[in-house]
This record gives sequence, C-alpha cells and structure tokens, in this order.
Amino acid sequence: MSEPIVGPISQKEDDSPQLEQLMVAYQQADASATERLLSMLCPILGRFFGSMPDTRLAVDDLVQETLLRVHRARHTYRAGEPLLPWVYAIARHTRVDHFRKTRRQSKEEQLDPSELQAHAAPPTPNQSLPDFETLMGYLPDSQREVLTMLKVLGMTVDEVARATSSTGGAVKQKAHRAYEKLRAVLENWQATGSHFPSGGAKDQPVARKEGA
Amino acid sequence: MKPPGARSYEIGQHLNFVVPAAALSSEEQLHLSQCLVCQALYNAKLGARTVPESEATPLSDRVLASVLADLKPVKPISAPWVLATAFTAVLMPVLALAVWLTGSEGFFALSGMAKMLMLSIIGVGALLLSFSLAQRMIPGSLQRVPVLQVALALAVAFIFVVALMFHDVTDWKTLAMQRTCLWLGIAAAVVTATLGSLMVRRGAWINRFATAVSIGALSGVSALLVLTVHCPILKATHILVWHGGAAAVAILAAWLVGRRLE
Repeated sequence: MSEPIVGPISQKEDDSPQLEQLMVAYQQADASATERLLSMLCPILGRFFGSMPDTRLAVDDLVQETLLRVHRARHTYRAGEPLLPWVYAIARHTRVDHFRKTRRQSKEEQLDPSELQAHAAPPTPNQSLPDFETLMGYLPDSQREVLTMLKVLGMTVDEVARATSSTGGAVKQKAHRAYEKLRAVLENWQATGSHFPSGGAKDQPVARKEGA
Repeated sequence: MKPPGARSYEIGQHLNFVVPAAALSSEEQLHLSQCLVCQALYNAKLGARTVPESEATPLSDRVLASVLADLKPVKPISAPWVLATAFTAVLMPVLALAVWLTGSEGFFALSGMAKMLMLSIIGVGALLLSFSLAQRMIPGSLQRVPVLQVALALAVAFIFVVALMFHDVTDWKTLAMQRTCLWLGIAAAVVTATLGSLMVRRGAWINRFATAVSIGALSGVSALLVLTVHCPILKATHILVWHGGAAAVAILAAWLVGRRLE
C-alpha cells in the first residue's frame, strides 16, 4: 500500500462521455470518429483481456476480434446508454468463444489452476500473500469474472451486471460469495502458512469452467 | 480480519482500489492493513494490471482497414419496449392463422373466469418473455426479466389455473386420441419461433443459449394461446398433457438448439 494506483482505468469516467459521442458518430459513418474510438477502445479491451488469466496470452488477437464484433454490432448501441458495459458485454462473449474454441482445438490445453500459475502476472509487491491468480483458482469462473471486473478493472456493480447480462443483485451475491471464499482461504493460509487449505474438496482450487 | 473498533465492511463494501491509495480515509487504510482479501486485491492492482499506454495493444491496420471499408451509416436498434411490443405482436398473426385454419370453438367454450385467467397468464407471460428477448438483443442491457424463472412461474400458474378451473379427467385411451392438440401447438410454436428468430437477427444475439430459450418460451406461450382459443375439450388431463406438453416441447427444443448454437 505504498504507492497509489493511477492507471488508465481511473480516467474511465472522464473518457466515457466522449466515447459515447464518438460511438454515435461511428454509427453515422464518421471515419475519423471511428478510428479515434477504436484506438481508445484498444487499451480498455487490452486491460480487460489482460486481467483474465485465460486470455492473457491472446490479448492482441482478442482485442482485434472484439473490435470487429463491435463493428458488426454497432447498430445495437443506443445513444444515451453507457458505452463501456456494451463493449464489455461483447468482449466477454469474445472471451467465452475464445475459451470454447481453444477447448475444442485441444482438450489437453484446457486451463486449470496449475496452468494459471504458469500464466500468472509478474510477482506482486507483497510476497507474504498468495498471488491473485492462486486466489482466483479457488473461485468458480462466474465469481472470478465478477471479482476481476469489480476490483481489478474497477467497474461498478451496474456495469458488471450489464456486461454479464445479469442483475445487480446477482453480481453482489457472486461478489459476496467470492469474498467469503477468499476470506476462508486466506485465513486458512494465514493459520497454516500454506496456500492450500486443509479442508475438504470445497476448499480446493476449482477447475476452469466455461464462462457462459 | 476486521480491525478492532473499525467499521465492518460487508457485501460489496471491500475497498475499491481504483482510487489512489492516498485518497483512502484513515479508517479505510486501517482496514486495508488488516484485511487479507483487500490486500490480495490491492496486490492484484499493483501486479502490472494497469497497462501503460505505450505497451497497450495498438489498433491493427488490418482491422481498421476492414472497418473503414465497411463503414456505412446504421440505424440504431429500437428501444427495448418497442422490440418487446413487436415480439408480442408476433403472436397475433400466428393466432389469426390458427383460427382461420382450425376455428375458435375453445374460446367460446371457456367460462368467463377461465377465459380471464388463462388469457392473463398468456398475456403476462408473452409480455415478460418478449421484454427478455428484447434485452437479449442489446449487449450491455440490464437483464430485468430472468427467462427461466419466468418460464417456471408461468408453468406453476398454468397448472394452478387448470387445477382450479377444470376438474374432469380423461381415461388414457381417449387422451391418446386427443393428441392432435399437441401437433397443433407444436406447429404454432414452430411458426412463432421462426418469426421470432428472424426478428432477433436484428440484434447482436451474443448470448445464444439464453436467446434461444427465450424464443422457445415465447413459442410455448404462443402454443398455449392457439390451443386455448381453438380447443373445446375442457378436461384437466387433456389441457395439462397436450396443451402444457406442446409448450414444454417448445422450451425443451429451444434449450437443445441453444446448447447446439453455443
């Protein structure tokens, strides 16, 4: 907790109105607005895919694929609505499709928690705690996704609900369950000095499941 | 986990580290120093999640060229309530066709109360499912109508009304001979599903499974509407087995198609 987090995410609220204006211009076939909007969406989508363990290795491809889907679905954006949840909803399904495709192509390449370790981000500053991917390995995919969107990407409950085609109540419930699970894991870890709780099967890392 | 004497952080109230740590209040900083969940989340933020602009994925020339080559003005999709109205309206031509082909004896055979209850269930169900479908067409919509719960509630209400209003039962042999209603219901559901699928293509249709189930449930409601208006057999077993069965087949088929499309 030494240095402040000042990243592009914190600029989101400032950018949002402009993004929405650009989107409306995009719908009207304004080429310069289109190029500007897509360029602005690239880092946002890069952070989205970069924050998910299963898509970290294919961020560039997924960003470009999502931009093409955004183009095909641009008529479904309604002026006056927030743009980012609309984009995240499309990105989320790009991610799900990516997972299905890779699973179909090679069953043995299916990500599991041990592989997530291999794909983990650089070591975190506080080495006394298990890293984020290890912790996320204990959560089902739906809770992992919600927690990442809320706490790593900094989205609001309403934005996550829109992006996941869910409701605010369901998002809060998933987040709450994720907190409770993480709390149990971390308390056990603190007591035993191990990442792996001594409890039953429910305390073991869960296999990666489809995030539909 | 909870700092002594400090505020308790309950559901959804764990610190959101999008804000700079310096902006946290002393109480929040105390919580951060003692809450392992928050520390883990904070570490995740520090773990290079915020990609510097210089390292961010650039816009691919290929993608930009592809987008610009296909750039033409588009008409934004209609409001959800307009789409929902359109989906509900789909039931009308299906009903008109069925009445034209098979008649409407059932409508006149029903008592006033039975008519009101059955048509209320069908009307409310059609509106809710249409609204659900409309939301599915627009990415980033709040899903205010959970389709599975609505379908379940409709099924319970249907069984309740049938049990309340219709008491006669049919023997199995006669019941088997009355299965024409099943085929008529399925035919109505297929026509409704076809029209609904054509309309859904206007939207983004990103969650194919949920969309397919919504279409199936709306088609099931359409089957119930057609059979309620057409069928003069007012026996509880007949209505439950063949009318309810047609709706169930529509939802089950949509479920399977949705799984296939995923």
